[in-house]
Amino acid sequence: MTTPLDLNALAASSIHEVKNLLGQLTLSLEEIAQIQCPGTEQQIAGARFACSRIVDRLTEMLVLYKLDGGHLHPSIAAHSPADFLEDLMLSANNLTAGRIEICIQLETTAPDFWFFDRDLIESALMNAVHNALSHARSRILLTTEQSGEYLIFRVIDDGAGYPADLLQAPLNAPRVSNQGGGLGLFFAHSVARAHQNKDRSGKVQLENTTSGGAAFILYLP
Amino acid sequence: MALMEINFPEKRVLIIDDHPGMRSSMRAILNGFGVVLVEMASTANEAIRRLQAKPFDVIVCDYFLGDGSDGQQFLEQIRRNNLISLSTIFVMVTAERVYEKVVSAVELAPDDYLIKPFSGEVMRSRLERVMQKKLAFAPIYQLLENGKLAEATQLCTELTKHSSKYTIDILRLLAELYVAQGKFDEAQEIYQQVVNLRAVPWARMGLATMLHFQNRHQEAEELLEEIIDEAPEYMAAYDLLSKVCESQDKNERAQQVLERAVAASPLTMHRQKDMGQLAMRNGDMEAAEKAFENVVARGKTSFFRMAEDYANLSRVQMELGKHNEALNTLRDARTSFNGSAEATFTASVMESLVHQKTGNVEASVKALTSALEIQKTHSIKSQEDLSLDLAKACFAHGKDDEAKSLIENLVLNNHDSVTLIQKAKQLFHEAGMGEEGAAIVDGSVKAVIQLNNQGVLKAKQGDLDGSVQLLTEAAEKMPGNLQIILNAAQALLVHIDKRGWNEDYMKSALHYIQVARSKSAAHPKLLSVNKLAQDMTKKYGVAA
Repeated sequence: MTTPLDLNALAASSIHEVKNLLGQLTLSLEEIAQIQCPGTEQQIAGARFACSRIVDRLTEMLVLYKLDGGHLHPSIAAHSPADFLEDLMLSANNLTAGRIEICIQLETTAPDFWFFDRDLIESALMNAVHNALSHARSRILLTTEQSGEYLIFRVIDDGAGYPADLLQAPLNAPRVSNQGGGLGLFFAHSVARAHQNKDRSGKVQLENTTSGGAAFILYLP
Repeated sequence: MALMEINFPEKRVLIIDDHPGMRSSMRAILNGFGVVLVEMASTANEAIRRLQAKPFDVIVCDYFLGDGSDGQQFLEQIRRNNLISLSTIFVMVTAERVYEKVVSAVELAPDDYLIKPFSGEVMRSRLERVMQKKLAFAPIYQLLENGKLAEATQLCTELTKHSSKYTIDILRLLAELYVAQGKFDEAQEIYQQVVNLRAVPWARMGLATMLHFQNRHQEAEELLEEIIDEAPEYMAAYDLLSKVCESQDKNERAQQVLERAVAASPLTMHRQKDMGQLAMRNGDMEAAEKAFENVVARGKTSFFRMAEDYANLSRVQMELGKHNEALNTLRDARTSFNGSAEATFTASVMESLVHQKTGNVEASVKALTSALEIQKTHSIKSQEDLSLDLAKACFAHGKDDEAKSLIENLVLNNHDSVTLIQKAKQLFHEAGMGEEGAAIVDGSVKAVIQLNNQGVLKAKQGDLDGSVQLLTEAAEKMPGNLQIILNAAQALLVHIDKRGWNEDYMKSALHYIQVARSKSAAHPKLLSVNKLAQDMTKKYGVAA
C-alpha cells in the first residue's frame, strides 16, 4: 500500500530547498557586485530586488503555513527600533542602486528598546518597502515612534498612494491579485496580530498621506 | 551616541561552515568591507584547533555544521571551556527561522545571528553594532576577567539606572552575576523585573532556576510546565524539569521528561549523559546503555570526550552481562586517549572488575595492580563511582585495607549523600563484611557529625578559636564534604563577627564558599553562610 502524498509537507520542504538555493544565488550576486564592473550596478540591483522578493515571498508562504497549523509563535526579544530601521534601510538601499532615496526619521518618542520578533517584523516591513520601491517617485521614509502602549513603524513613499479599494479592503484574508501585494499585506497583518502583549495585539493600517503617497503603518504592543 | 570607528582590517575573523562554497562566499562578503585576516574551518574540531592556536576577534559560525552537530552546541562548548574570552564576538548564521526559537531560550546566546541570505551591508552593520556593544560592556568584562564579581555587579546596577538599548542585556548579565555569587533572591528579582516588562523565555527560565535553587520545587515544576507547554522546543526547560522532578523523588517522571528532550535533540551530549545516569539510578539498564553508547560514539569525533564516558558505558555493559563488549569499550578508551594516565587508570579499574566476573583472575589482579600504581604516582581526581569500583576490585583480591580506606575517605567527604552511603554499605555487604562495613560507614558518618557538632558547640560556648581550629582542620581532611567546609566558613565568619576583622580568615571563608558553590550552587547551607560573609564585609566596610 502506498502512503498518500502529503502535498503540504512536500510543498514546505520544496520551499525550504528553493529558499536555500536562492540564498546561494544572492551570495554569488554579492561576489559579482564586488568585482565592480562599470555599468552593471543597475542590473545587479535589479537582480537583487528580484531575489529578495522571491525569498520574502517564500518566507511568507512558510510563515503562513505555520500560522495555518497554529504553530506560529513569534520569538520575542528586546531590540533597538533605531538599529532595526537602520538595517531595514541598508537592505532597501541594496535593492535600488541609488535610484530612490531612503531616509530614516526617529521621532523623539522612539524608545531605546522594544520587544518584538525582529525577523518576522523585518519580513513584514520589507514587503511594504518592496511595494514602496515599485511605486515611489524618488523617496521612501522609514519612521518609528512610541504612541501610548504601542511601538509604531511607518513606511511612507511619495508615489500615487494606495487605490481606494485597497484602503477599504479587510486585511484578515489574502487578496488574490495578479500584481502581487495581496499576500504581502495579509502576511504583515498576520505577523502583527501574532504579537501580543497583555491584552493588546499588533495591527496594520494603510493610509494615504496628505501629499498623496502611501503610508504603511505597523503597530506593535 | 557617537559611534566609534571600527577598524575592520585589523580584526581576526574565523568562519565555520561545512559548505566550501558558503565559506568562500562569506569570506568575499567580509573582504567587501575591509576584513582581511580571515581563517576558515569546516568542522567544530578544526575550529577548536584554530581557536587554541591564536585568539580571534570574531567567529562567524553556520548553525548547521553538517556532521550532525550544530553551532549552538559548539558555542556552548567553547564558552564553557573558556576557549574564547568575553570580548570575542560570536555571530551565528542560519538558513532557517528554527534557530530564532533556539536562541531566545538558550543560556549562552551568541552576540547576534543572521538569517541567510543577507547582504554585505547588513553583515557589516550587525558586526559594527555588536562591536559597539562589546565596547560598552568592556569595563564590566574587564572586572569579570579579574574575578571582581562584586565590582562588576555594582557597575551593572549603575548602568541599569539609565535606559539605553542595552538595558535588557545588562539586566540579564546582572542576574547571571547574582547567580554566580549565590544571591538567588536578587537574581530572582531581576528576572521578575524583566518578566514584568515582557515574559521573554530566558527570563522565565531564570525564574524557574532560582525557584529550584531555593528548593521551591513545586513552584519551579509548575512554571517549567507552563514554559514547555507554550514553547515545546526549549530543551533547557526539560533538563531543569527533570532535575526538579528528581528533587521531589519523582524519578520515573524525571526520566520521561529527559527522554522527550533526548528524542528531540539526540546529539546534545550532556543531556545523553544525564539520561544515562538517571536511567542507571532508576535501574533501567537498557536505556542507560543506549544513552552512554551515544555519548561514547559521539565523543569519538569530539574534542570534549572524557574517560568517564567509557567507564559509564562499560559499567552498564557489565551489568547487562555483556563482558566482551565492556572490554572492547575499555580498549577503545585506552587508544582514544593515547594512553593518558587518567584513561589508563579508568580502564584498569573497570577491566579488573570485568575480568573478575569472567573468572580471569590473573588479568583482573594485573589490572588492579596497575590501577593502584597509577593512583599512587599520579594525582588522579577519581569520580565517586570509579572510586567505589576500585574499592570493589580491591575487595575481590583481598586488598581489604585499601578498600576500607578508599570507602572511608569517600564517606568522610560525602557523609550526607544518602545514595553514596547506601552504595558503600552494599559494597561491604557484597564483600561479606556487611556488619564490619556498616560499622565503618556509620562510624565515619558519626565522626563527621560529631566533628560538626563539637565545632558548633565550641562556638556556642564561646571557644571561637577552638571552633575554628577544629572545623578548618576537618575541612582540610575532607575537602569534598560541603557541610564541613561550609561550617568551617561559618566558624571563621562568626570569629570575625565577634572578635574583629581578620583578613586571612575572610580569605579562607570565601575560598570555602567558592568551593562549595562550584560543587553545588543549590546547597541549602550556602545561602546563609554567603549572607553572613556579605554582612561581615558590610560590617567592617571592606569590599569583598
